[in-house]
Formats: sequence, C-alpha cells, structure tokens
Amino acid sequence: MAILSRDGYIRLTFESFQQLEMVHLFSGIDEDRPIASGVGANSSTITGYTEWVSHGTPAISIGWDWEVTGAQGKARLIQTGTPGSNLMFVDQHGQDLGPAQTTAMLVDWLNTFHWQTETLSTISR
Amino acid sequence: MNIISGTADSLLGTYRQVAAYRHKVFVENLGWDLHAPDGLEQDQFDRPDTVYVVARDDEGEVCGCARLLPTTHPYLLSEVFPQLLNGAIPPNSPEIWELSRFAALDFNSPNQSPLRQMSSDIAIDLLQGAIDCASKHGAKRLITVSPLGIERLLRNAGFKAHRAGPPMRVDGHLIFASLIEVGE
Repeated sequence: MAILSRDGYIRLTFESFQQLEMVHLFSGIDEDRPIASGVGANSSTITGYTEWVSHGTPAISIGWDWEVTGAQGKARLIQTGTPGSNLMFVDQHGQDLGPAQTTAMLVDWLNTFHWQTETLSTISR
Repeated sequence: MNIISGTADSLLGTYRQVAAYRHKVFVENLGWDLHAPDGLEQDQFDRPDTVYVVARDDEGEVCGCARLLPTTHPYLLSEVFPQLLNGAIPPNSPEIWELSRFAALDFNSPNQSPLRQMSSDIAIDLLQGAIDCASKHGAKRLITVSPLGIERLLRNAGFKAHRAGPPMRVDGHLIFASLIEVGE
C-alpha cells in the first residue's frame, strides 16, 4: 500500500510503482490553448490532458498533456511536456531520487504505458 | 507593470479594486458560483490578516491578484476542499501558507482569455511575487487549490512544485491541490 509523506509525496521505488495498476480518471481537449509561439507553432493542433490514478487512498496521481498527430488517415496521441505527479521515486535505501530524475523516469514509463486508446475513446464520446 | 502586497487595510482603495477584479475574473468570466454581492467577490477568508499580492498595469489597473493565508488559521483548502489532500490532514504550520484566488487576466490586453491566462508573463511575475511575499512572512512552502491549468504554468516556468493528490471535478471545473517550494 502507498504511504503518503507529510510533504504530499508518495514515495516508492520504481520497481514497486511498476507493479501497480494505473486507471484512467479524466481526459479532455484543451478548450483554449496557451498562446502559440516559436518556430513550428501550429495553432490548429488538437491538444489536451489526461489524468490517471492508482487504486485506493492515498492515490498516486499522474497527469500529462498530449497532442494529436495523424499518419495515413489515423489519429494518434503523443505525450507532450512533462508529467505532473505526487510521486517521488526512491532508491533501494529509501533515498529520494529527486524531482528531476523521478520525472525523467515517468516519461520513460509513459513510453511503455498504453494510455492512448482509453484517452482517445474518452475524448471521442 | 508593478506588483504590490499587503493586507486590505494597508492596500487602502486597491483592496476594493481587487475584489471587483476577482468578480470580473472568477464570476463573470470563469463562471464560478461564488457569493459576490455588489460586484465584489469576497469570502470568509478575506480577513484582516489576509495578505494580497496585486499586479497593476502602467495605468494602475489591476491585472492580476493572489491571496495568501497562513495555515495556522482556517483557510480555503482546510475548510472547503480537504478532499483534495489525498487523505492527509490539512497542514497547520507557520512555514506553510496557502495561495488562493490566483488570477492574471489583463482586461486591457486584446489577446487575453480566462482559460489561457496561466501562460502569461503576468502570471509568472505574479506567482514569483507571491512566493517572495510569502517568504518574507516566514513561509517555506505554499499550498494551493487551483484550476488544473495552473500546473502547466508551474511546470513550464520552472517552479518547484508537485501535486498533493489527484484532481477532482467540482461544479464542472477540474481543480487540484499542489505544493510549491518557496526556498530561501
């Protein structure tokens, strides 16, 4: 069972996290995107967010942004930016790996986690 | 733009402008169901000890605001939204202050909208102003209840912050609690 620290983090090893089931909470399309800027900014891109949680309380919470890309007439969602969460990964001695490394490991995990089908299904309703 | 801070008494007439600005942002534009008679948005947490951080444009018009409350007295998250804390007891510490009613919508700018205000330069400067102000009052950390969109501001602008629990939908709006490091 996940334990909540006084600073709001849930601390666990990456290996323990991988054993947990994450379930879909909310997904949606951005109603009004942030002002586009910079080379390659495309105001017609469809973007949104998705939120996932573990079972029970306290719950692990992870959310990230996505955008739609299309290839061969098929829509595909890709994660953008960096995820937000209440997770702090620790090493085998219980030492914090830090926010930056935790986020980097979450991004790697997202590349293996199948979130697109559920998210696409939710926003298509 | 300049940023000022203080209690309602010390801000003199600016406090009334802040209450009117909050009405315009939260009630008229975002559609929050708040008690706001006379076009002024105020609640039980607008007390003599409440500290306000206010952004004003070059004409002196309010273009952003934030509210700071010590967690040693009742505050929004402890009294109204404790369910956002993921089962934790609401903090009660002079080193943790609550940030609420954060808005950075410049009504004199043609490109502004309430849903993308969190990506503006005003929002970043105002949040940094709120962090600096809280630090002067002894805060080491801020706790907030905010629209989920503010997490993008925190992440993109490089603030040290993490969520306190999962977001929830309240009156049709996705909100969440987060903790922001104040630092030295």
